[in-house]
Amino acid sequence: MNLLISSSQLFQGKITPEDLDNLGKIEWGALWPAWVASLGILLILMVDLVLPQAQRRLLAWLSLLVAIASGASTFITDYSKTPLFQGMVAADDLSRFMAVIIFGTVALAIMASPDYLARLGIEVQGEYYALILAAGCGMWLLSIATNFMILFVALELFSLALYILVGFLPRSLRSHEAGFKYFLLSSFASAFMLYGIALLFGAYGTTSYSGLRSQLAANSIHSQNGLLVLIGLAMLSVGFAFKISAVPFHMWTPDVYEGAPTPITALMAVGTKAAIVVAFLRVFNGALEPIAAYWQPILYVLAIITMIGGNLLAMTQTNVKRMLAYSAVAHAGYILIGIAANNPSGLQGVLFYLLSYSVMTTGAFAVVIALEGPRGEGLEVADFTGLGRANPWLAAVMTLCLLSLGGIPPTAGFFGKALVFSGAVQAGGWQLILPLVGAVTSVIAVFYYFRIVVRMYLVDSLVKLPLARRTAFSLGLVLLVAGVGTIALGLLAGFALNWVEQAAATVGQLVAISK
Amino acid sequence: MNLATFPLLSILIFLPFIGALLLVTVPSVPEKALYWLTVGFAALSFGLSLVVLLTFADGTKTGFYWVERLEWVRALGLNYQLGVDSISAWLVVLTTFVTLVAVVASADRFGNIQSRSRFFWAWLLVLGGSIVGVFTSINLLLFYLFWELMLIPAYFMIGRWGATELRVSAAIRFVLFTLAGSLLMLIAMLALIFTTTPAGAAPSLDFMTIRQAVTGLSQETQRWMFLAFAAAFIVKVPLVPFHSWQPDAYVEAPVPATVMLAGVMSKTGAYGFLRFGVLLFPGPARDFAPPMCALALISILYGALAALGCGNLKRLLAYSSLSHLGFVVLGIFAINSQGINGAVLQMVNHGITTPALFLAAAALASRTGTNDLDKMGGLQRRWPRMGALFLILTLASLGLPGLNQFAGEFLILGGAFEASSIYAIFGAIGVVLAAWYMMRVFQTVWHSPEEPLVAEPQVVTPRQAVRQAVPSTDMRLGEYILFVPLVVLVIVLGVAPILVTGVLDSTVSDWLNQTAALLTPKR
Repeated sequence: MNLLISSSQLFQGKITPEDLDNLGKIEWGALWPAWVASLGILLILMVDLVLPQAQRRLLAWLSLLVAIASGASTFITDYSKTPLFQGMVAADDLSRFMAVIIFGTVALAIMASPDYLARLGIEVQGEYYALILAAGCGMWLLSIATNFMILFVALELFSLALYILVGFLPRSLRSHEAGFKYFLLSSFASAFMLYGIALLFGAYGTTSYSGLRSQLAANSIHSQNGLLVLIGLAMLSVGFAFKISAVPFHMWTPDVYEGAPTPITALMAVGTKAAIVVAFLRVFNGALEPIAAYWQPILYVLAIITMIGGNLLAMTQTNVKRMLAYSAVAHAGYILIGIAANNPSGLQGVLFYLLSYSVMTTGAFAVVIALEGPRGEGLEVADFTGLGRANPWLAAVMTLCLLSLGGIPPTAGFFGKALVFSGAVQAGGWQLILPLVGAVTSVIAVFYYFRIVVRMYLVDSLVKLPLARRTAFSLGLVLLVAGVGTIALGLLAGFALNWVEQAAATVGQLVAISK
Repeated sequence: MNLATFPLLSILIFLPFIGALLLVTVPSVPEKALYWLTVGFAALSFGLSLVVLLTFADGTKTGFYWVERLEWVRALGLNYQLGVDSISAWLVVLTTFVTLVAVVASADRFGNIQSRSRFFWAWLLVLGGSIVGVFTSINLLLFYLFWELMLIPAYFMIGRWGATELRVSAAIRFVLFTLAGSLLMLIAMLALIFTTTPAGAAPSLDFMTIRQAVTGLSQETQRWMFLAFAAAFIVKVPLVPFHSWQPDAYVEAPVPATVMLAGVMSKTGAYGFLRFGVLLFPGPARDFAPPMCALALISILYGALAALGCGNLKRLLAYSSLSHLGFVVLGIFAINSQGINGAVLQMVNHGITTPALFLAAAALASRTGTNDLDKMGGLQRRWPRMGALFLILTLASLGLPGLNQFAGEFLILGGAFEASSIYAIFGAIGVVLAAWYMMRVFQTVWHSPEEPLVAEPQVVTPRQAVRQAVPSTDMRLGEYILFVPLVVLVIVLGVAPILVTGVLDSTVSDWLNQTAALLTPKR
């Protein structure tokens, strides 16, 4: 892959002695999280072979350790802030930020799993955890890619892992269907994306973000290759819209989210979305920034119909998992507001949104996991009736997460929404419509989120459901982290924002540093 | 005690929260102890809030006191900044007082057995604390945070402890209406950040900063922002035609919650109009005064007419509240010293009379088992003392001189007359209608020939069964303790409204002078 760049540069006669020097210089340290995760995967697969059946549960703790170590390892090296491996991956604050979000989510998904798998009677666990870690590794690589080749390889890395994980429930037809559906539609979207990349490569002979950006900045879009670029942009937009599940490319989301094992749903809803969004930022707000005027309208329209469509569809759902799936679609719309704004406030908003979205969504899914029965029952909104009495803590976490998802202060979700809106308000002009639509759809969102709250607290339950099932320790930990995180990110939003500010600044710097 | 740094306002806001946390977490304690714990917290808040009011006792202080400031979220200009001027000081005292009344009243001896729960008391305290937060925030976004925070306790109180099966939909409607309005306000606040912050400077939504900066904006921008803010306040007050959540919410809510909603939460909307409408956007407020006054007048007349045609006592009081709040908004948008003084005075007075009326209606309902006016009659002979209580409150509510609501309405109408005689004329019609519907209630319930109170076989749900549990006697000791202070206040503030206006006057004229000064260089 390095050859690709150098060959393209050779074509244009732009190679310099420094480039040749850099050719041999590889900074392994920047990829610590990926190394740790990959070694962890091997380790888990080997331990799985030797561990007696009775102690298989240790695997969960081992993989948890790996996930935490991967996330923490990003703090070992002081980043050079320049793209490494000949401009293949970024090593900046955003990479670090993403390592925390993604491996944090992976850790939470792992912790939510053992109890859930045991309840569903699934014994095979080694590959389950290995695949989760592989998916996490791929997501992180996707988010740090600064070259379309890495982008695509990382995309496939986590997608392949997720195809298997989505269809992991051996006796559930729905899970198999979901896995297959995800496989088909996701490959379809990947093909779109790949075609877009190919067209851009055709136009400018480069797959690196920085190369593309400087080419776009130097050449007018109305020149000879302009059409190629525009078609490539359209293809790329379709691919990304698919992955981020924006309306009208969202069809796969509810089915896949519903069919997948719930910890995997949480992982997809949070980790995958975060990774794709950051890749989105790096490609659109980074590489394609010079032609922002062309892609902003696309995202503008996508954001509006995603917010409206996602929320309206969520309103009619009776299955909580499906409702959360549509709500994930709707949240993609809010995130798109920040991306379309294409200014520092918007970027900070998007990153803070990801942070808050990961804790609150994980929390909501963790409650669902706690309530789900062995054959996937207990997922209807009606099944939440009386939870406030039967299990006050579970209900409290759910309420907190739903309030946050609805954007009610002082939770994390409010600040996420406010920041994203502020990006659009700052951009001004026609973008002011976006926060207005966002406001209206937020009211709709609160309506359907509160339907669950109504069930939990306001409806007197007549039937005793198996709600009083004891929550496993590891799952309790997930609930604790999510609940505390949702409140803390709100109350301490100032501190989180300082970090987010640094991370967001790197999106724009991408090209300023490399040439 | 160093007045400049002592965080009295924070304590006033968060003391109830601590109380609520204690209520929810303490293990099995007899309910009675929890009740007195709640009462203790509410009383303590009330006592502390009096200290705030006493700061302004000399009647000359203007500007903000007890100011606290902490940076919170820089990017959004959000600072934890609290402060009171004499306007908000009165409203803070009103809030803690009404909270105390609501807490005391939420015991079964007042027939409010449905709200006898530690969770209910916790929400009650939280609501009180957040309303104090609304009245003391002088950072726009902090104001918004408390503004939204009020929704959650109110939602749970209506939705969980409400009277009938309609309670859930009433609660949801309340939340959605309010949220829709306030999100527009949020967007306007965000727009304020970017339009008023010079490039490179740290954004700040502090009230005083923004107030200066707003005058630099174009008239059109200011107008849009004013409208977005007004959307939130119109829904909250509420003004017709955005009121449809209000009667249902008031009727469904258990009485202590209604007391909080009608007594103080409705004032937050009016206060918002004053602080973040008239004082923050003086230009647009003056431009939009005619339509706002028209809305206020429509609310006054609509509320009064609806009350006139209403057969349910609680709903009637809800409509009457709608009508009275119209007066407050009318006074604010008269934009003169008289009108604004009258509006704040009326907020305080209405905050005393309305809770008293709702509580009296509840006490009556606990004896008769109904709120239906048709089923009551000639009760004066049976419960003469309660009749006397109703008479005083009725007269206060219809604005009899010498009782508290007269002074406020008089000042408002005076202010309105100064703005335009038409406002005053239509406002006065509202006063006449108020006399009509209130006297109608009093006559039907207490003086028309007695019809036997038919003990109808009611559909007894657990929620309603309670109603009959109270023996039908005249006023009991507990009720005297509850109502006598309220009646005393009704009379004292009626005789001496100067107690309120004396403190307000300097602040109001100072604000108006500042506003005029802000406006002149532009014109």
